[in-house]
Amino acid sequence: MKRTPRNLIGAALLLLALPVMAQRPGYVANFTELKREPSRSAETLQSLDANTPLTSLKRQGSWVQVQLGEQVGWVPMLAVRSGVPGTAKKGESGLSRLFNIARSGNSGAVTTTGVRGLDKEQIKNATPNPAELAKLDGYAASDDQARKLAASKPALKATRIAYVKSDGAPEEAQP
Amino acid sequence: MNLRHRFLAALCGACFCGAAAAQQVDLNAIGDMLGKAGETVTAKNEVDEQAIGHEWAAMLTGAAPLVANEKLQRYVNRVGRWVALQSERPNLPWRFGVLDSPNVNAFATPGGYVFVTQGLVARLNSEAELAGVLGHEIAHVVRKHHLAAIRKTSGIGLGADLLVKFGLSKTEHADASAKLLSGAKEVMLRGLDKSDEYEADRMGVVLATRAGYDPYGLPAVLQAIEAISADDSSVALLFDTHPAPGARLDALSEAMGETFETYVEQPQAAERFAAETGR
Repeated sequence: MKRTPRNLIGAALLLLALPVMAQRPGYVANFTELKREPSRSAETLQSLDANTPLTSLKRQGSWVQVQLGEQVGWVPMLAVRSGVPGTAKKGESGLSRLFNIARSGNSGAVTTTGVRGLDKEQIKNATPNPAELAKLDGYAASDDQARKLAASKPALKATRIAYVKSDGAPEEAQP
Repeated sequence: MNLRHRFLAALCGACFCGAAAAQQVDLNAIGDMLGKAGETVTAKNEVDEQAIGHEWAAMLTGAAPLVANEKLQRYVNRVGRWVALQSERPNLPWRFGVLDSPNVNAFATPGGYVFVTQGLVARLNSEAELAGVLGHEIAHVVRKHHLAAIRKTSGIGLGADLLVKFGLSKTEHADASAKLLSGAKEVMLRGLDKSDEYEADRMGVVLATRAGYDPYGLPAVLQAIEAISADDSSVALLFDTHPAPGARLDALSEAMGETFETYVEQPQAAERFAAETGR
């Protein structure tokens, strides 16, 4: 079925209303396959090379529904990265902030809302506030209260699983 | 003995240990607390660790107060405690708090204090995502990553020599306290060891899974954070002190493989999260 632009607009509006995840531009980090259903055994619609741009629509388990042009399908969630491929990656890079300084004349430490919070300056200048911290004791949960939450709907069932090493192998239990 | 006294005693004890064992000059309270792999944590060390963590956490609540929302704070504590119960240190006096800051970040301190910012909570979609974030911070506490980091800074441990030399006076207590504070700030601004961040990601996923949640909550949060513009000052400190979200997702992809697909049917608890956080 070929979608009309009107259908597309309707679909887009519906997706915007999804509570769990708004549409998000992204790309695939490495070679993967676009599947018709969120399952490894589902029909492959097409192969996707690394850096293929797409739009994430919603997540289901370990799969994300994505849109490429007019085609919609599913890819493994961990194959998807947000943003645009090839742009400078964030994290431990002062480049974006240098750019900020050049553009706005400040280091970007002031948020647009005018509320400052927990940036470098605030931490540098912080003096301990034990009275504020003491409030936490009043909010603390007992083991029983935590178990009660887990027993309420939707119930959480504790399960035993080992930590994993960076290659995915199970870690030996530590005392 | 109150926490503050315990903290000072811990630091002072540290100095004398160092002096007594000249062949192990790097031994101090923090070193003792770190222990060796497989060594059981002694009760005294745990109290000392909490005393240090208490000072550290008080600095954080000095930088930003707690959100004045008891329902939210109690909810985050129930979720956090439930996740912490699945860890190797279930009996720590775990405390969880939401800090009143629009920035996107989460922090832990030694001894079981864990904080998330209001700005981060606002970007979460489910209890499973919250559990993944709290699991990451709980992992830092369980593996004592902050104690390892502060041990590396010059502000703490090395100051011990001074105290041994001149004995202990009120001034020197204050000096030790100031050194801890400056060391803690340095760790907050520089971040932890990058390999510790990757480890905390892997452990956070496992802890959330053990707690019965959908394992993909933490990866979902990392994807959401990756989508925030690097120009956005709300993520400046987070990006300065952590590996890039994409690199963390690469590492999680490698570590999680297909192992966690067995658990995808575990709840995300999005509705409960929305109800409890007032959305």
